[in-house]
Amino acid sequence: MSRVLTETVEITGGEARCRQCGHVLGAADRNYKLGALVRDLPVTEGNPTLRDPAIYADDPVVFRQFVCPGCATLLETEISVAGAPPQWDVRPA
Amino acid sequence: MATAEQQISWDGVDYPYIPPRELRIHEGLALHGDADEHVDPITHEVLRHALWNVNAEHGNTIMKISGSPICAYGHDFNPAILDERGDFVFFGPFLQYLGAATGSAVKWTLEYRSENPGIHEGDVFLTNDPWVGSTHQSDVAIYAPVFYDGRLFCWVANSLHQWDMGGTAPGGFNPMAVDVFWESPCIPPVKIVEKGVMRRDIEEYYLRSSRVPKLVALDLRAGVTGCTIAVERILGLIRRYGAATVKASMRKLQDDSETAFVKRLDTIPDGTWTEEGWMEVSMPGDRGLYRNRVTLTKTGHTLTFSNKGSAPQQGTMNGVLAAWKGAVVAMLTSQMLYDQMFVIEGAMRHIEFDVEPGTISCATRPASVSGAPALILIQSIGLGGLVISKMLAESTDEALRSEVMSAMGVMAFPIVAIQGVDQRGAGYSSFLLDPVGSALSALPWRDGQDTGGWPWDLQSTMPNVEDNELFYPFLYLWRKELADSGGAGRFRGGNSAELAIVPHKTDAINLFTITSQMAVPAPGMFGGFPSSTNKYALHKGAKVQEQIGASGRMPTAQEELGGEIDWVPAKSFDRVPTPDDVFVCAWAAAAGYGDPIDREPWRVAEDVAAGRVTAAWAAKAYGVVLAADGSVSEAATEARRQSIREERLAGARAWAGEEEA
Repeated sequence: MSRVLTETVEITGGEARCRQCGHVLGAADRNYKLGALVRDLPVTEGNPTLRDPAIYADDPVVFRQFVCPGCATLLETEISVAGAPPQWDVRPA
Repeated sequence: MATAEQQISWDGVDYPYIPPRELRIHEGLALHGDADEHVDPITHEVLRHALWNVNAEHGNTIMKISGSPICAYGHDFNPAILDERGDFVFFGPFLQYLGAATGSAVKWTLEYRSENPGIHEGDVFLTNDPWVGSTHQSDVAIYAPVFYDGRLFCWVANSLHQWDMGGTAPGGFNPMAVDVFWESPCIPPVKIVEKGVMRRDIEEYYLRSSRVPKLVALDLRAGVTGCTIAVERILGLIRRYGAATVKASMRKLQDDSETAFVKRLDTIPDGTWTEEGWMEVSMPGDRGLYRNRVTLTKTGHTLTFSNKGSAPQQGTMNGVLAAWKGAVVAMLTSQMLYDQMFVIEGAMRHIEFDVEPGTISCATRPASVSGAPALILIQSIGLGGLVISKMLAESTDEALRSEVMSAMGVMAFPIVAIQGVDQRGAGYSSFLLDPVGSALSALPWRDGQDTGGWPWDLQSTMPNVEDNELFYPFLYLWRKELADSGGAGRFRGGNSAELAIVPHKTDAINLFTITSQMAVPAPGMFGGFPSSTNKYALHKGAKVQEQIGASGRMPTAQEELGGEIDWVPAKSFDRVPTPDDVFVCAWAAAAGYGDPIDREPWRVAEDVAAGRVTAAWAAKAYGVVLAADGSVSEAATEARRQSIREERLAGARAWAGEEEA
């Protein structure tokens, strides 16, 4: 019995998996992003029209990618501020 | 000993009003709750559409009478029909976020005005008090009881953004407001019309603080007349079909909406979804970022929205509860009740709010709240849409999954408030509405519409350039869509646009800015890339008139402008462009959906050919390499995409830092 968690991640057999290649990202009751590879980039790498956030704000702002270790699919992206940990944005009951 | 929570009075005085389950209505006010047990399907269909048309006529009446471009173009209003207890029957197809405020105003009035001064036939009430029933002081709610046979049968209501309600900042958006006392006055519910007659004393009190009292007086008549027409039409339906039948149809509308909503909830597993955005700059001179968090928890047939984890209230970034509640549920009409003709009551019966007061999204008096719709409110709509989307992504219903949306464009409205003496020598005070062009989200099956507006605002239109040049003392150099602004993705976020204006036939324009989303773009969804951001730039001493005279051509891009660039911050009050200067404003686009290297290459080629995406960005983000004739070079594209995968794996690492609790 599987449960679709997001466009890119599903839960099968109590584990979160990449829907593209089946790579196991961790237990279903944890944040699946912790089982992905993380890549922090300047926000200008996410959109060429962006300006340096430092023009406006003191906190660092980065474009964060969560990459499937198995197939390099982008599982999710975030805009992360001040070094915050990955958001646990999807939590099955 | 009472806990802090028990000591809070949610009565609209210091803390926002939260209606109790059972309203405390004075016994002297009789409610007309009689309803037939059944209404036949044909009669119901006739009445359903007749009531819809009452509401539509209500809205059209406001537009015909109001002289305000905020109404005519921005459609910054919404009419509604509510039952005798203030629950929604029909909400109009205009600004969806006004819903919670309108209902709150009517319920507060039932509780606190039914004894003194009383609620009677022919009365019309008015309020702009954000802690009672308004999203901010400029949004004035006007609402009238409908009496039949001596009993209160239902309510008709509208909320319309006003030109200027007074206070220290022209137009009502005040970037310097330390607290609410710097802003337009708050007016708790008053009886503006008594037994069919406009009360002159209340009207003069209402208009006295405005810089443009005659225009506000016109909008007051627009709102009152809209209600008057709606009252007459509902009484006409009652006389034709009978009160109990009309009420039965109203009840059925609410019940049918609830049935549809619950049926959809049944396709979604229980869970919790969280999104956060960042409010930027609490006051002019500040450079801080402040967390705005929205959490949605589904438990059976109940959805609970929470703002916990959001920053404490401060500066000019705050909003009231009525604004936040309206914001987080605004997307439900388009995403989960799209077939219910804006009858939102069915959803509201299954929604709870778990709020932390004293935060930027549930501010208590005397916090500054005038900027809410441009700031915390719109961002919370966007965050609300994202948590709803992530919930719908888990639905077993394909139709619901197709309603999943990436982050919308303009999650903070870039206010350009302008004031001064116009080309005719008259004073003016307004703000530019061009960013209502916004940009629509990407969906799991299509790209977002470029400059397509917002999914929760179905009527607003960008003003014509020529009309703005007629209304205000400036000329446009350009207003154009921006290539690459929409987030890259398997489906691309809609592109946004940029304008550039030059003061004309005036000495200068007093200009305020209020916005956010300058430093922090909206995130992509499920691997999509982020949106562009809002932008203000003042080119001091650009002297475009001389440039045009020398070159014979108009500049069409910021790179072609001279002068000294001032990257105007999110909140400012001291920029005064003259005819020698150029002011540029761009607004944030929508974010992308899905991994960009999964996008079908022919779609990218079409985007490049149409000018929506540049060839350089096509190669960098999408991994699509085009030949000289614009066709897709398949071998080069496959090689580039493989290279991107390798770059990702080589540049990434396992997370070794803290975990979110």
